[in-house]
Amino acid sequence: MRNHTTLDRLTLAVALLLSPGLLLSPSAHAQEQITIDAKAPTTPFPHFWEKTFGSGRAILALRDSYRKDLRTVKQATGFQSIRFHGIFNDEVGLYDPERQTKNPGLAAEQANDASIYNFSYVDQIYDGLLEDGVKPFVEMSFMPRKLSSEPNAAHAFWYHPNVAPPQNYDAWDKMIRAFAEHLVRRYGIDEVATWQFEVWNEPNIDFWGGDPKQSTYFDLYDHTARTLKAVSKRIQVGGPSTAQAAWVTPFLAHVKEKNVPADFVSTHVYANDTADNVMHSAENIPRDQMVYRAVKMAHDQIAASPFPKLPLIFSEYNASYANEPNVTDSPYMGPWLANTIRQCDGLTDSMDYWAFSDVFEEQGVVRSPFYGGFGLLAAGNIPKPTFNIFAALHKLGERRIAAASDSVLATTTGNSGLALALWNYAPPTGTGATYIAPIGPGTPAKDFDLILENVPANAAVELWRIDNDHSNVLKLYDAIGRPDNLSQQQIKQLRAAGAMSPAEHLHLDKGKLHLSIPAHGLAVVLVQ
Amino acid sequence: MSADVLTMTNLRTLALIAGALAVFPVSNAIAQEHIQIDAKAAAAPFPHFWESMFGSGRAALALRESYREDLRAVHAVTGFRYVRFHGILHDELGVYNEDEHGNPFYNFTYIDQIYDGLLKEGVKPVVEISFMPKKLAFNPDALHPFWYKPNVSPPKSMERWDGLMKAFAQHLVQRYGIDEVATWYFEVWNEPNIDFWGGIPRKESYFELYDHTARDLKSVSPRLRVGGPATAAAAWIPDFLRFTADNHTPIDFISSHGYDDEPIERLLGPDQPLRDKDFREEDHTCAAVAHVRSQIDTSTNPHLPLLWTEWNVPGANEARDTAYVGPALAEAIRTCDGHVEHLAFWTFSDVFEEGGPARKPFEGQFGLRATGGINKPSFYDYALLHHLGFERIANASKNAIITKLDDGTLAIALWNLPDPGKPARAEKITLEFQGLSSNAALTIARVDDEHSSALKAYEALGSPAYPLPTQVQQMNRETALPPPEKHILDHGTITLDLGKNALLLVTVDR
Repeated sequence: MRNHTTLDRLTLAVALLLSPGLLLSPSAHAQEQITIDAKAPTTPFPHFWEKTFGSGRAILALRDSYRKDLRTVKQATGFQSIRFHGIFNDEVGLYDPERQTKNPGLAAEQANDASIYNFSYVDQIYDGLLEDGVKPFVEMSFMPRKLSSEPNAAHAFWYHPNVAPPQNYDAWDKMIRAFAEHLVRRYGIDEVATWQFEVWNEPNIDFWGGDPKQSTYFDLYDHTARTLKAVSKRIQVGGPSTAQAAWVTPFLAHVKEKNVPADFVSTHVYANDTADNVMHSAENIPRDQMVYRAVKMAHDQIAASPFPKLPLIFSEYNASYANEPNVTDSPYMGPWLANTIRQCDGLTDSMDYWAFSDVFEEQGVVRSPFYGGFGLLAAGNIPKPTFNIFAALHKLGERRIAAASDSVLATTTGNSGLALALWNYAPPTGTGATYIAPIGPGTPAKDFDLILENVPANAAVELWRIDNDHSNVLKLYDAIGRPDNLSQQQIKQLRAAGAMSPAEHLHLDKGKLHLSIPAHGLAVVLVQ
Repeated sequence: MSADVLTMTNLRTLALIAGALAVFPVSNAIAQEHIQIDAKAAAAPFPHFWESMFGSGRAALALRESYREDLRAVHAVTGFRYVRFHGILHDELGVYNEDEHGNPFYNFTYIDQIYDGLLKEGVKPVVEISFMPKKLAFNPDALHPFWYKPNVSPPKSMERWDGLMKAFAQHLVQRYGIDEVATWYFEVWNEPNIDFWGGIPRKESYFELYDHTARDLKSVSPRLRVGGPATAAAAWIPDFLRFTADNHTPIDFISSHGYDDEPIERLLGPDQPLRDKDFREEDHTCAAVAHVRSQIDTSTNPHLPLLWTEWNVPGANEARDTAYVGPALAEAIRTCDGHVEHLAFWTFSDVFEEGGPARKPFEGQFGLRATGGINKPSFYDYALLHHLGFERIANASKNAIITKLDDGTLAIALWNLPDPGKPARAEKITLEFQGLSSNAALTIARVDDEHSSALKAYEALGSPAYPLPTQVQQMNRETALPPPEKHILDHGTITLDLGKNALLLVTVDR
């Protein structure tokens, strides 16, 4: 396998960042020749990036729009489970020891119900997921107000979850026990044993009000993990669910020292997190390296711990933790995601993209469909480029062929074919909350000369593209002036415009294929 | 209220009620009723005012899949055209915001999702304009005790309220077109005479809110239909009518509320002679309806339509989960006929959170479908009554509504309403027909304590607090209405058994 690059990719990226206008000339094309042998040795390539997705908080899972979006993404990716905040939020009604009833014209009265737990909405939420073939990844959060040590400890999110520790651990343990027992009774232990239970969310930042954060979180973890295991040893529990890949080493040292059950390690990273926050170093780590660096760090920390085989789950990641329309709404995500997958392969069991849908309210009610939300689908079930990116990468096989290039993922498919992803990474056209329209033709493309060995010399090729001109709803959305409020007609038009562009059907020419991929472009090539 | 209006009102109410009073001694004494029906008798128009409009849980719940499933299910059996709910301005929908300089801006994303969702199912909104966005509230802490804690304060600035109302109406007209929006109803607030309105004094401050809102809407389009006062217990109607007349405030309909289990004195006012003992409880709502209708009739605006935007049958002992709803509903239809444009049953579904999330399927809540989508007997009662015709033949029976379909088929509702204070028992009714074939074919469909009873199916499953989806499906299968029984008349007559709390729908071929 050979690999030849006429222009160093990093140089290109830096140059683009400094002065995109200088690179409009076609003479700046990068070119790469890649040889792939369909009979080369392969390694397992489980689709760890599409096993689990994040979503808006628990109560939103009752929405019609959430469920429509879930079915749409399930159809495209076959994902297995979903993670969200807030199953213990008051709006879900689980913990309500003093519930009253009130009828029109009558005074409120104490509900004559013995149980202080109400599982109606928990059931409706999990029933709804399971009905669509998706399991819950149970993030146990946040604190019911009536169980909170600080009823006014409200997080800044629009829905203001309570983030204080419990007022007493006896009541917390009882709630966790009742919760787990109820789930096992309703769904059966064989089912619930396939779920993951994660203790809290990002306790190292403002989602946890314990003081000091780490040791009080470990108290919460110990109580919760032991309570779950008391219900059934088969329930899988883990943490510390930290932001910025924090606390992995101290968490593992803690569970070792206290002999607390832990079935997996979970943590988060976003590609615009800083090296200072994640590695505590002064490095300047670019957006296309950051997730990999954090995953590698956590992976190595586990390997060096007393539990070197413990599964690692990145239960949140994305190219940005902020709303950046030139990032998460844009075809930029194709190369970013493919390259992140390429780098992280083998280092983590699961990476859970935050989030599958813009049915999401952390910053309030969506005011514009393309505001840089995390989802694959914008409000109104409109596919973003990321939806098509995930759908295209889903076509990759489950065995990988090593390739020296940093712009290709080569896999074999079941019927002795090849499935390749190729991309042209470039930094986003803009950053921050303000959208900057793409520059137009002339942005440097990259030419790939593929030489495919051990496939028929004239094999049929199916080519899927996601870039500024393909599978990209923004083209129409920009053309109609980026309206905040869409008419029903516009929603229909954008849904159609956002669909994956039809495959191009080609043939190899004497075992070769030439492909030109524009900046921010991803192509998936299927060879029979 | 002036003395002459009061007298007039009472006379009309008394006249209406006289018929209802007569039923007690008769139905107590007989086990069998004999009803004579002349198929050729004159018939009067009989619009289906009881199934044209329903209430529901608050606006945000209309985004739920369960809400929409229930809406489709109830729409399929009733064809209802309007739904009314609280809270389209509640903060959880994010409509009203102020930027860092304190300038208002609006977000209609969820309003659009809500109304888009209704219209897609063929149902239009009754836009109940409520409650107060916190940032627009004079008192941000004026929270109603409902679980979702709506703010019930007047606005801090009428100018800002006007701005919101105009922008809201303009947005709707722009999105749905004036021809569509002109078929909706806009109702100002909910029950301002009780704890849903924090203005002081309540009445005058509500009238000011109404006046502003009605003028705001009409400034966007005179075709928008606006009304009020949406009062609890039939309150304020004469004063409201006088206020709007005196101030030339636009008004297209009168709306008010009343429930069967409210005391008659509250519904009709303390200054008239009727008391609870003068009515059976199932007649309370329609006594209030007739009372308000007569108040409108005697006003300077006598042609205003009346929308009864909330009611329900008596709810003691979780009766709304039982077959009792059928006869109580039929009784209301019988006695309200001719007095009201829409009688909106509160609510079509138990997707409802005023007292918090339901803890089990059967808690005596208002809806036709219990939590999880379980069809209650009331669901089937509504399904049966939907088959009534659009012309009614007058009849003296207090337990029957005789109607005629376009093709001349008779469609008859018969019911067995337990006597006040007495346990339900089986009854017999003999129908004797004239003006059709003496051996005409007929069909009978029924809902009673034994037929289409969700509670019975639920108890057979061990009364699970949290039924599985498969159990819900099983219950709905077991309670589904079977094909109607088929019979023929015997010398023009038939005797029917009415089980406990029975509602029967009988059709007779011409």
